[in-house]
Amino acid sequence: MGNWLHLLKMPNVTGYLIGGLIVGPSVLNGLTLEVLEHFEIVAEVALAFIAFTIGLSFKRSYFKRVGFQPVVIAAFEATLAVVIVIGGLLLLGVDLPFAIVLGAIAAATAPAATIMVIKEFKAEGPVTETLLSVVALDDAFALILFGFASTIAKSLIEVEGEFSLFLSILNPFINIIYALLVGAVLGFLMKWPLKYFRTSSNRLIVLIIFVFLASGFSSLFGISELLTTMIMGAVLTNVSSSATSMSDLSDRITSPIFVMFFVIAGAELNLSIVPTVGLIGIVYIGLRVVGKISGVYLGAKLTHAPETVSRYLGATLIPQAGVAIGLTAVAQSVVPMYAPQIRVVVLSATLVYELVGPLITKVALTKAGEITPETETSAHSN
Amino acid sequence: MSYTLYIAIILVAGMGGGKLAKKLKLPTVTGYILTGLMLGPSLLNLITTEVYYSLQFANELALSMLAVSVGTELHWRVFRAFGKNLVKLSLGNTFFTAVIVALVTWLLGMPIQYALILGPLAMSVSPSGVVSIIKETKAEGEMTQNLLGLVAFDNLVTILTFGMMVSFVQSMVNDTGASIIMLVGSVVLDILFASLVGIVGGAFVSYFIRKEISNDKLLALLIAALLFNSGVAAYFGLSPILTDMIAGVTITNLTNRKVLVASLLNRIELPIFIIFLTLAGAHLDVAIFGQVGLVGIGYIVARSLGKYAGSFIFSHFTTVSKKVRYNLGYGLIPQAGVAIGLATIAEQSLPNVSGAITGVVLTGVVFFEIFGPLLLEKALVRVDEIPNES
Repeated sequence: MGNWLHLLKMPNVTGYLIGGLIVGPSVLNGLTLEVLEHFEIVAEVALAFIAFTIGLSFKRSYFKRVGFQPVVIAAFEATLAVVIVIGGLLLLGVDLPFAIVLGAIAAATAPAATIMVIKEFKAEGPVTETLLSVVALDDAFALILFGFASTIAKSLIEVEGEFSLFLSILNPFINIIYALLVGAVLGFLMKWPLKYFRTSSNRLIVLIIFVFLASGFSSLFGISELLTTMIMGAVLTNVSSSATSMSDLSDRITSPIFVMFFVIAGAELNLSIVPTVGLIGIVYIGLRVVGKISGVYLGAKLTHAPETVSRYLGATLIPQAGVAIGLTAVAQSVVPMYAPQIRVVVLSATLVYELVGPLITKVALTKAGEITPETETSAHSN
Repeated sequence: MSYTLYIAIILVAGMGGGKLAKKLKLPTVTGYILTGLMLGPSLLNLITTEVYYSLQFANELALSMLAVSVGTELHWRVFRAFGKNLVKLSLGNTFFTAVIVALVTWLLGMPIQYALILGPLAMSVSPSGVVSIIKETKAEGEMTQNLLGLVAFDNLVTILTFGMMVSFVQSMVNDTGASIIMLVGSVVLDILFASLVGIVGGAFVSYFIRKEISNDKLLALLIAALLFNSGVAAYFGLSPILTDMIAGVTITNLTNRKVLVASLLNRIELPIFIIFLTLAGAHLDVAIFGQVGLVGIGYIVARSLGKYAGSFIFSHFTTVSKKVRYNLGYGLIPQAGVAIGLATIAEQSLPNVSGAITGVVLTGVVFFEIFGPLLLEKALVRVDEIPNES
């Protein structure tokens, strides 16, 4: 499937997703819901590897060069997406707590598809570079913003003061700190076995052990898997000279995992809910994009980022998937009465974003001049 | 605890065990298996039976990868050069082993119909034991070449003979009057069907190898084809080893790119093999030794003797060099998954066996899994086929 779409100049990822959609419950039902549940581990592993390789690109020298730019841009685009979506929803006349919780989910971005597009077309340049860090930071911002939003929403609903406002605001921060801590410790520890093991097959095992440990610990402690593994990569790349071999090694083994991951993700997309989206869904889908693009623009201008970054980065942040769906599960416990509707909106948004997002990312990167047509054709024959 | 964490722990422990084994001059494979034995239900129970079954996919993947590697060794040129030798050696050692094992276990008190099943079961050789040692030590030469061919042949002969023997014993026990020809026919049909599935899978991969798509994609397609083969085989009750082996044969003969397949698998195989072998160790049940008793020991002795003497005797009718003749038999000692799988099939198809066959085979596997790789490595050292590591 991925290969045929190549002819239409679509990214492979889109092909995998559509392939999955077709064999999944929505169309052929070759992969039933029951089967899909067994594959949770594939998603865990795939995301862990993706986040880890993003982390590996965070060399100290990189931050010395760009400073706080990615942080500012990520803060702006995440916050603006949330604010604009909330504003639009309120204009539609929905309840305030509902708007706040749904709006907060708008901050989340899915790194996987974006990274795949970058790899497939060997994109390079300031937009790509900033995109990598922004997409990574988005997870942290999404968690923080969602933490705030759910706290506010909760306090709006609950009249009795039996829950601690302070603690609920603190909670996401504590989670993030734990994730940073676990990731940093693992990243630092990883340095030693890499010193001892030199052959690539031994190192491959070290890589898998640590990535799986990070992923396993994060689900054990209930912290963000993406953040933990990313920080692990970021710490490792700054303390060990063998970090580059890690990203080469993971590139060598991850292709089957990623294909499975995207096919499964595609199969999990649910076509039947599309008609039920309604106006709220359309507003969410549209305004989130507006928020991302304008947020990036403001943040980039403020930090004097290159022109291409301010113009094209926003469009590459459209994909949304796992984290957002995960947050709807949290919404279930915060605002149970709105949860079903939130879920429908987020799931149908995921469908749209995942199918369109990678293509838009590719177009944006091409326009920014970071995908050269030559590499596009040579991707065929390597 | 999540499975990712289990996998990480298994890898750490297995790797530790492997390194320790190396320090003690034992094969790493033995280290993995002993580590698993220690973590498993027999001792520490850290890898519980439940964990074992949920990580089953790692076993399936590992076995498919091993089977396809064995298959890729069988290029028609190998047949032309060594075909006669391999056929003689394989038929010789397997039937010799089958006869001795059946005889010994029967004399030790096994009912005749079970002894007749144990014979063909003893013929099988564990591809994992042999191939993982060869890959690990990077062994090369006459004995290695012959062994790889024999692993393929022996298992093929095993699957054929076993299928027919089960049908024969079934008709003996049940006296249903179903004609032997029909029973044999259904076995042959199964094998033809398994081969067909394998050929389809192999041709699929070969098509993409010829198209020269990127290695990353090829790896994904190869794994897809392997899992497809095993999945179809499991669904129709065929042998996954056979389908994947035939897929390997198909690939190597259609594309001549044995090395490409090996290098693709090489990217991912070590972690998978460590998980697989450690899990295999965890699955060994030491307690079974006591229950099975004398028949188990008889099976072990008879099979070892049959494999060694069988290949030694029949090597005299071949062009195999003298040094190899004395050592070849050691390489055929490892026995594991294939035998267990067949034993379970036998118990399902025969009434009132209640663990008698599986018990004996499992006892054998405990012994052969631990000592088989060790004997093989020593034998490879004796014939100078292991390059000195720098």
